[in-house]
Amino acid sequence: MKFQLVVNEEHASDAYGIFQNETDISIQRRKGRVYFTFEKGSPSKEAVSKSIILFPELEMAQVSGNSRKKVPLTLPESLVGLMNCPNPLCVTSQPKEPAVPELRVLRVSPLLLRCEYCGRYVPRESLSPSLMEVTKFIPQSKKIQTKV
Amino acid sequence: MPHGDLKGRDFITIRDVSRKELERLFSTADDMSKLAKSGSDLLKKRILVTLFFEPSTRTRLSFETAMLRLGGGYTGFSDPSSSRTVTGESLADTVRMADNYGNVIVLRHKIEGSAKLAAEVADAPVINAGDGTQHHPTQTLTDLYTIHKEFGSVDGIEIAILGDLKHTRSASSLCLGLTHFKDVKLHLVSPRELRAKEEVKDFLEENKMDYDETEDVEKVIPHVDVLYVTRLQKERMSDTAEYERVKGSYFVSSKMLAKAKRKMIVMHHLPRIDEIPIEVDYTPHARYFQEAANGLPARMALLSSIVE
Repeated sequence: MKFQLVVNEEHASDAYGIFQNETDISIQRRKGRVYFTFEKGSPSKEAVSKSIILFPELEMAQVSGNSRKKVPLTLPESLVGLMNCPNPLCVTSQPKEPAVPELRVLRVSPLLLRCEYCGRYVPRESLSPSLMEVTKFIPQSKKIQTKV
Repeated sequence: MPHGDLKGRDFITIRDVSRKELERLFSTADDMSKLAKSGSDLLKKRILVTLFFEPSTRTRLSFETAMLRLGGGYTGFSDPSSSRTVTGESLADTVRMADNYGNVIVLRHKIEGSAKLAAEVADAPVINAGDGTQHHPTQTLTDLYTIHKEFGSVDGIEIAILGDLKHTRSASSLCLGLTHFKDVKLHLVSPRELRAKEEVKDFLEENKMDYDETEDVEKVIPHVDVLYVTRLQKERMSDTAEYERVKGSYFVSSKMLAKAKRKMIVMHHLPRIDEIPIEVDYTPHARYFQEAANGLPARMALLSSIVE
């Protein structure tokens, strides 16, 4: 059983960036579409979530021999530390503040995300690969003991 | 008198309390009105820490007065340039320090979600005194209390919220707060460019609020019980061009109010600029100064209910 993710040619380089840490991938191009086939097992959940968010045309399938079965696209209810909020006035966008970006998935198709901190929707046009580069430290627990 | 259900709880959005809890706060505020001049020792030896990173008159003064009238004390700052934030200290670190000094923290900040972060890092309850364009729950508590006092209930009222609905946190917060009540009819009145955020309108729809949008305030004035006016939030606009485009685009005059119901009230979160001329102060509809005054017993009710 192999997994296949298909994007439009225009998104190929962004998809390479997302899958750069994945192994055993073969790539085919056909009719303006790019097929990323994961030869051994499935891609990471993180890579799948990022692909669903960034590529509205994404298709995911399980391939076994000549049979190919489409897989429904799903996202977790909440995306914690996966991507940044595009709102520059959001507390999670402040480099010094220990607020981990957290986006609630309201709808997968068409995609609708809402930031748990600033409460704003994430507009489709603001989605970009750079938004996926979360550089913040993500603590196990958000609460740090300071009491004397 | 204060009730125990809210002890130790944060107050970040108006949806953090239930309708029942809101109504108990109204009832406590009625009791607190009697103590607003004489004072009490309900919060003796307790300290309120005010962290105001944005200007404030009514909210900060009423919180500080409320704490003094309840027998407690306060510390903090109203000018962030006098704190270590000018050296680059993070909000989270500032809140952690405040947490060591007080029994409750009141925070105002231009960054959206700042109060939620403060609540995460502090053990003491955090009260949001305004974060960006998002929430201002104690203004909404005051506004709903004012409506409750005037009409006996918030249920069944018809209300228009006029002005800069895009940037005014008091307007967004009031929309959210009204969803606690039944049979409310809401008119969102604003120039096209200043319409309420989609997030707010979707929330109204999810909560089955009967609402509409219009640009014509004169059309709704004869029908409403409450006309809630907001000012242009120049400081939250992207540039001066945006401000210039909408400057003077709405106002309320005493001539317009001639068509209002006899008991209709005009509210405003204050400060006003030019959207309500002084002539309106002398009509029987003006209620914004009373609304501001109600902020004291409302905040006394909140503090006495939250602080342990």
